[in-house]
Amino acid sequence: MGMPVIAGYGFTRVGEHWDRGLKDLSLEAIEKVFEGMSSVEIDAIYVGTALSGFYELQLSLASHIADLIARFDASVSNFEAGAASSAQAFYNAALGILSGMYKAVLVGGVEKMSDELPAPNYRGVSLVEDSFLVNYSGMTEIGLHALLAKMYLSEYGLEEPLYSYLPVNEHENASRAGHAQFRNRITYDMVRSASPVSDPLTIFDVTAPGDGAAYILLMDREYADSLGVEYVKLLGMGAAGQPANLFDRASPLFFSASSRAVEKALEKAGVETEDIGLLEMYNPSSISGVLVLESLGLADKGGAGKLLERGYFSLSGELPVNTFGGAKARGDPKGATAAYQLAEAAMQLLGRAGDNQVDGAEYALVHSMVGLDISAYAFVLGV
Amino acid sequence: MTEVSDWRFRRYRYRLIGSRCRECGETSYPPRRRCSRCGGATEEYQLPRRGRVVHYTLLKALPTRYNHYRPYFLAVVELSDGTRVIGMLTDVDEPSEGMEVEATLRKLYTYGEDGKIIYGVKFRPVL
Amino acid sequence: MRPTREVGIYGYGAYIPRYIIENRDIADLWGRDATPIKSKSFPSYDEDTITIAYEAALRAIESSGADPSLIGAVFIGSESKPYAVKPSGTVVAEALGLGRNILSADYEFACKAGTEAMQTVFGLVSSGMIRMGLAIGADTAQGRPGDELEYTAAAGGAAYIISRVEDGVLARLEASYTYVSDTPDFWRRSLEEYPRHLYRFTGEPAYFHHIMSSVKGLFEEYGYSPSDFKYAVFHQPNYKFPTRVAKKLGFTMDQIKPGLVVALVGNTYSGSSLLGLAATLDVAEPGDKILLASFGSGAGSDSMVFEVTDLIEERRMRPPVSKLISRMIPGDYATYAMFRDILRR
Ligand SMILES: [Zn+2]
Repeated sequence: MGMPVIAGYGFTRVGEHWDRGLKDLSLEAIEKVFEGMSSVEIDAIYVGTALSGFYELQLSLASHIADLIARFDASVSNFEAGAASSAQAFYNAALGILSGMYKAVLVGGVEKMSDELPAPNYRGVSLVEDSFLVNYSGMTEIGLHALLAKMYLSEYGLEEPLYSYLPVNEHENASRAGHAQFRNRITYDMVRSASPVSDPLTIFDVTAPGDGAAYILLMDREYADSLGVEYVKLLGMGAAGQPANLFDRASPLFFSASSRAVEKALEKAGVETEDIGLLEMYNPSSISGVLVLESLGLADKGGAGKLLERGYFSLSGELPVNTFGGAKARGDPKGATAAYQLAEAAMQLLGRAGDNQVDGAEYALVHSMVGLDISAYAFVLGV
Repeated sequence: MTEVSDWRFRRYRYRLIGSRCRECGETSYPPRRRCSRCGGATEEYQLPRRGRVVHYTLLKALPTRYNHYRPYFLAVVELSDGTRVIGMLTDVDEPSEGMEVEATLRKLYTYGEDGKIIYGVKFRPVL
Repeated sequence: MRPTREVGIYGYGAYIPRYIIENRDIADLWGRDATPIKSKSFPSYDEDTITIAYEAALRAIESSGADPSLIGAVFIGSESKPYAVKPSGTVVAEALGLGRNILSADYEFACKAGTEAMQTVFGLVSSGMIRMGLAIGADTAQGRPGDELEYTAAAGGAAYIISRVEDGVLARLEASYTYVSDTPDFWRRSLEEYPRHLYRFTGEPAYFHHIMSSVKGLFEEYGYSPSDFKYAVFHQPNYKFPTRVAKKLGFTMDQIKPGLVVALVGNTYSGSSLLGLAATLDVAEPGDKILLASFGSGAGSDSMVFEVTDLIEERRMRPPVSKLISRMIPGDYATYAMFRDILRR
């Protein structure tokens, strides 16, 4: 008994899977998890989804995933927390293994967003924010991000929205990722001149709806050793929160929940920030991405854009970020997004990242958050 | 959101009733039960109706129930007591930072042709 | 009619939406030549009678400094109630932060529902049943596209806080009068979207007969003549009717001019004569007498005499009606059609 290991992962391509539903996508991803593995006993199935209850009228997903793969002996748990749904599921799956109760947990998430129309989608992805502040008041997640971008530019006296170099980098990374939703390369000028969704943000500054499923096999290390599978270690994890209302925060531009969650995860893992070889962060917009980077101390306040511009966070840069395109380009199937991030970090550490391989990374940091940093999760993985 | 839950919010929605911390005086809108700064108990507090636009954005990605007309402006408004709130702007074609605004009551959305009409605070230029 | 205990206007407020459409634009669309007025107001997509009533009442409370907790009634006269069944006044009262022990009802008497609300509040305040009351006339009037009414049916309203004279009023009610008969010049059937009217029948037997009977009745009963008044306000469905009825009754243009807002604002129905009174109070001086005569199709007219007091200076509405008008901006027919839900997305 000890910190668990990621013994397997599987995911679908992110995109518009018109002919496939929650179960079809889940089945494809889960079959990949167990590919080449002899029979594994699964003690629990933890599933995250942000929107299936609203879009597909399907709740209690973990029960139905257990049914799907005929694992009736497993305990099931459901997690719902926007794009952090499967991060929450993963966090709790790890606790289950740490407790000694479980040897193996199938944990992941699935989302089917393309079935909904744009207006319900703009509302749907905002449901994690305080309902009075957002859905009851004409505000949306994108609107909040736009106002944060205004605050950011004004607070630091920035003329140019250099945060828009982040999606450029993300699309570049996704261009070589087979499972990514958007594999086209874009330029800073393309981001800036694209249609505004809420000024100063354009369609290239924010994530788009996508369908996808990603699952991970989390195991007790001894059990994994006994099965002889290759794995990545979960070395530390942390979680924290802060007020949903931007103006109830010490500073709207500081993501204190993310900062604190990462601090806890690093401390638990005994790893320093400088030792991190790559970061898979969750940023539903370019502006939220630079705020995560700055809040984690990876860039000076107001300075992340400049670093992005000069390639600091690119695959060949000092700290590669969102190595398969992140939520912007790999895609953002909310409930599955964090499971994709964890699987991608595992691929990097196992040397299976193909054209996107970051060389010599010993540790990977995975960051996830609910809405605009209302709650945040961080995981440190290592080989 | 239902026609009932909308009703529960009506006072805060109609009248900019927020909260103030009994310990440190921190004000919030919408109201909080516990202060975000010091954890102290709060009381209801009538926020001033007037303020100025600090930041604004034109929302074009319109969500359900707010998508029947044009894109609309959302703004960070600093009220005259210094409390910052986020709200929809109305009766304005091109806002500006620093623009003087006041809270008023407007329609937000309806539950269809036969359903309830939901009203709430919006900000418009001072008359 | 004279209340037993003297009552008057404690405070007043008005509101007109921000948009106007030029009559010319409507006439060009339908290929017509003559236009009854220059422009009319129309509500934004997020405005209705409730929000207009709220704006007017809020301005009345804020400008007069009235204590909201003393207000015991909210009556809203309108022919464009957002709900067929469900009071508008409870929303307005809640939004204004009034108490829960208030009388409230929606009044409907075509364009005279606003003065009807005032008459009711006069009685309630005078009898001592309530200390103060809000009488509001507000409308987002409907005109079928292409119909004569489309040129004038406008949006706006005014609110009056009525109190006993001893509580301090800016205008004392000297007398009121009413005259009604079964005269069907204009109506809207239940569940119908737009009203119908009988063209020229709306004039002589309806508008003119009722206003003149009401005003003459008032003059005879209480001994007034046109020269007693500094100002007069008549219901203004268009520019021609109020100017003609004034002339017929012996009033001059100078007396009606300050309150004649129809040429730019249009006919705000239940708000029309009340809006005219607000514009008149904006310029009135202590000691001035004002005649108010409403008209509602169906048909009837309320007439009232007010004498302005010294309190007018400190209680005048801020900003005045003239400012509400000067801030208005033109919208094209497409915008009008979208905001009025003629064009449905
Ligand atoms: Zn406090």
